[in-house]
Amino acid sequence: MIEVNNVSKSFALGKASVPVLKNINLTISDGDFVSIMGPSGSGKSTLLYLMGDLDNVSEGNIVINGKEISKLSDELQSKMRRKEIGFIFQFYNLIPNLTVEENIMLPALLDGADKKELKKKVDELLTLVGLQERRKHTPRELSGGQQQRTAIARALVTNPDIIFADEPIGNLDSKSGVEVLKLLQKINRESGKTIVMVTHSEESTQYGNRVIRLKDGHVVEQANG
Amino acid sequence: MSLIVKYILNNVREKLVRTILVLLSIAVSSALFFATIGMKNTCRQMYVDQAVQLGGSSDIKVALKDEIGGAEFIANDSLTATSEKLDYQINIMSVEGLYNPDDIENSEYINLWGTTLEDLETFNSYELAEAGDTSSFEGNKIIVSQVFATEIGAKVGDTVDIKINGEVASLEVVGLAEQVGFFLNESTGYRAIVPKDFLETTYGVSEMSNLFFLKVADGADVNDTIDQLTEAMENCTVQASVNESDLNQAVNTVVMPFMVSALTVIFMSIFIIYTSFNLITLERMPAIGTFRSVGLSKRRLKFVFTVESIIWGLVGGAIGSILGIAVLYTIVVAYVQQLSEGTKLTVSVSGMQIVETLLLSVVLTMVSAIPPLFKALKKSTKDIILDLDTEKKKAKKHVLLKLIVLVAIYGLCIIIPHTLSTSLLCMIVTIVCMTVIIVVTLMLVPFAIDFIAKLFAKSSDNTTMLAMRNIETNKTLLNIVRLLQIAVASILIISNISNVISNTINSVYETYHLYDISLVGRAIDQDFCDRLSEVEGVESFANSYEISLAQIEDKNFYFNTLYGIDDESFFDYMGAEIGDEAYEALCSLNDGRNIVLTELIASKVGVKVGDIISIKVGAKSYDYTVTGLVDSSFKLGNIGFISAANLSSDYEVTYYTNTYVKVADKASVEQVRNNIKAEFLEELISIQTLDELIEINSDLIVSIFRIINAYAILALIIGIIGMVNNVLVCFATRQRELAMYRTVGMSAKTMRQLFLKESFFLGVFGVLFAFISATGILNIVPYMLSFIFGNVTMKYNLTLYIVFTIFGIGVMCMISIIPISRSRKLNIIECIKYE
Repeated sequence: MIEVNNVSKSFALGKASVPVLKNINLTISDGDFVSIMGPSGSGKSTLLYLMGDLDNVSEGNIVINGKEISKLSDELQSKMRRKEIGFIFQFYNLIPNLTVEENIMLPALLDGADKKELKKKVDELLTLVGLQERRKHTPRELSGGQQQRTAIARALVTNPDIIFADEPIGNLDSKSGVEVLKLLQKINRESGKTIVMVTHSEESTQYGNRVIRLKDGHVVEQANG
Repeated sequence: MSLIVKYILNNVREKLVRTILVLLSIAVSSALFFATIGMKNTCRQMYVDQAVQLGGSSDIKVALKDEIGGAEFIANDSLTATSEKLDYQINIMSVEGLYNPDDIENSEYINLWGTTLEDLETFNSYELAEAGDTSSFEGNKIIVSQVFATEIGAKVGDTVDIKINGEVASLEVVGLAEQVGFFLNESTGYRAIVPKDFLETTYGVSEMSNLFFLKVADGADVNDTIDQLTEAMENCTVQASVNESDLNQAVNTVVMPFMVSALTVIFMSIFIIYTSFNLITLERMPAIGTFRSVGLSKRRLKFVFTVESIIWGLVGGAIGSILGIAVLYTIVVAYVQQLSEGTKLTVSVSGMQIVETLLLSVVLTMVSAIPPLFKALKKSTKDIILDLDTEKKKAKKHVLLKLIVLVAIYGLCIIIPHTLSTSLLCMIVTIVCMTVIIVVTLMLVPFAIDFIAKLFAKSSDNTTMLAMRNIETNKTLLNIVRLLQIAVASILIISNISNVISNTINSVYETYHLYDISLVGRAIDQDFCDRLSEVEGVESFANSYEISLAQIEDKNFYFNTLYGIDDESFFDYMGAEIGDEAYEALCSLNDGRNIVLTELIASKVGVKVGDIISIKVGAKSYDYTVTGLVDSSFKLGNIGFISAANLSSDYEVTYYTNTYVKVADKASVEQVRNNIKAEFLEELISIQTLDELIEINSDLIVSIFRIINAYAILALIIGIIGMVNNVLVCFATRQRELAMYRTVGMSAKTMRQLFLKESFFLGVFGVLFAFISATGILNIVPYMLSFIFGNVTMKYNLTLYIVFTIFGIGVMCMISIIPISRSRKLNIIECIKYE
């Protein structure tokens, strides 16, 4: 479960402080597939990164699985990112000099796992995302859709409870985008993983079960999809 | 166009740290090049100062010959044949004196020049560290060097007793001179200046001298004047004050290490500057895309960037020249000067040096800056705007074949010089092979790291695997390996060469000088020899005639020394590696006009046994037949041996030049020296034990090689600056990648470990490849040096290898502090999000 309690976030711009999120309160239950929507500058990506512990709140707190993340040390935060959270980005953010299977294994390797022990898991994930024949390729040799599917597999390798996706189809053609969304839906329904997705696309929200709309840093609507 | 210029200027101003780093890279590279030329010139100036010590600015030196029964002085106006062609004629009375004549052990021979201070200043130079009243330099006065004054405990105002022409004179010390000009080098004996009128009175002469220095007027030919004087003055030896060919030969012996250093400097510089400009190009890509999208042509962009690179080069080169001057002064004055025991070294800085530095700086900057810019412009405008990386990863084809070819070339470069005999061709081929070895080992880096990375991938922990993978695939990290390789290899090579040459030169005395005492007398004839054999403690001795500036006429080559020896027993005193055939030749030197040469000089001038060469001394020239060759280690090699009888008669040398004495077993060398002094006293000009000679002559050579070693340290510092720059550049280009690691759960601690491991392996690889290139080069460098120094045995200094292993890895690990500290401030979101 993710709890966002009275969270505000401001950025310094010169001498001024610009508020991006204002007193956000929401709860995301286990197994939810939440789409966060809003116009540009509404703070949706900022909210996602705060929940994913990639940034710090200015006020309030965020609790994930009972742990207030801002109070965790860097070691524990990193551990949480390896084991309990997976990230998918708009521009994939794969490591360019690692192969597909190495990119997938990366969080687990950083957790000290053995490559041989991961092989079976990696094989399953490659099958899931349909990239078995691309396992030895580097990101440069993949299409956008293939790179995003690699990123999805990476996000799943340590079997996290929560996946955060920042505009996962924003850089893909419609066909690839649909494939990715279907994959996320499948992961959510079959594995029960919580997915929080920032998106511009109304069609994307149909794959989830909840929609949260932001405007000017406030939550203006929370609806079931 | 003005908008582009404005953009570039704003870009330079906004990225001030980056600008400073780039300028620093260019400046330090220029400074290093400036220092290379400067130190070469400084060493050359040292030799020039030595060469002009006595002759000063004069062109011609005329000296009255020492003949049995001959005059001691001649009239100053004897040189009438050429007086209208001269700017000046300085007349010197040069005599020998004996300080402290009553104390044999502590007496010192001193060469006195009788002249006026005005005359001395006209053609030579001197600087007084301490001066009394020199306004009226007449009568019983003397100016000595500070070194001599310290030796005898004298100061300005004191009186010193010197025996001249059989009479003891008390002279007031009116000046203590610095070790420059006339007083530069007193290794072969002390010198002093006395008033001319004092010596005229002592010798009962007027307007007479025995040593003349002439400066020819503009338009007059020096050689013609020498020829005329030689013909007119049969009782004098006439020669050029400084022989340019001889000087150049001497200077070339020390220039070679700087040439090697310059080569590595250029390699290092290109790496340093190229990496900096690569980053600038990357940062400018969005703006370049925008310019292209609004219609700016590639041609105009290329023109602007070319001009920009020239300006970077000029500014960096100018800063580098200033930095280079400071570096030169610091090293030469603060470091080497202190170790040269007061000998003043001239820091040589010329306008041409600055021009050369600016030129190199511009060329280096253009060579380094333009390729990344032009390469970027090859992309389509769309790809530039969208920042798409369309460069396809080149398939690694024929990797094994390429590796084999590179290793084979490396091997060939080591083998080829071994197949050549000592010659100019061998030296040139060796230098080419050395260059190829450097290039090949640089090219081997990615192959070898690729291979080693695969080994680590199978057996190591994950962070190590990541570190190895990063080194294998990141070009900037590979360049850091290459930079460390070049820096460490340069210093290994320079240090080893200078140590070996220094030891070789110093060991010449220990290995080849087999006598105990050497002496120079006023008139060493048979009577002298008979008396010498009776001196207590003298076991045996050998005499030789020795001529410098003997020329192999049709080869325009000068001997360091042409020896006239009585027989082959001379080599019991001055050793050499003599084969059977050479020994036979030495035994039959007197069977005709025969000459035995060193192998080195024979290979330099291209002569062999049986050839006839023409040897010219002054105006006299005679043909000699080469009958044998001896080993080149003898006194650095440019040596020839003829019979004493031939030398004496052909070139009219009356007295032996040097006598070499062996003392009896169990006799004290110092005591025998004193016995000889007691017997001959004023008949001697100088007398030294071998230990004294070694100590004196090592100073100059040590000075030169300390400069070279100091330069090596400077090159190392430059290399470290370059590596720091590359590490900064590397971090800047990897920020996004590092942010990605953080997003997937790499902790800050693990990231620190990653940097440390990367740095460790960078150090290991850099040092490893440095050893490969340095060892290969050092294996063949003797073939380059042999043309100058004779046989040189290269010994690998294991201590240096160990020190540099620790140093190289240690420095890299310390440099890892930079990315570690920067990673603490890494903003993950800023790095991973595109704008």
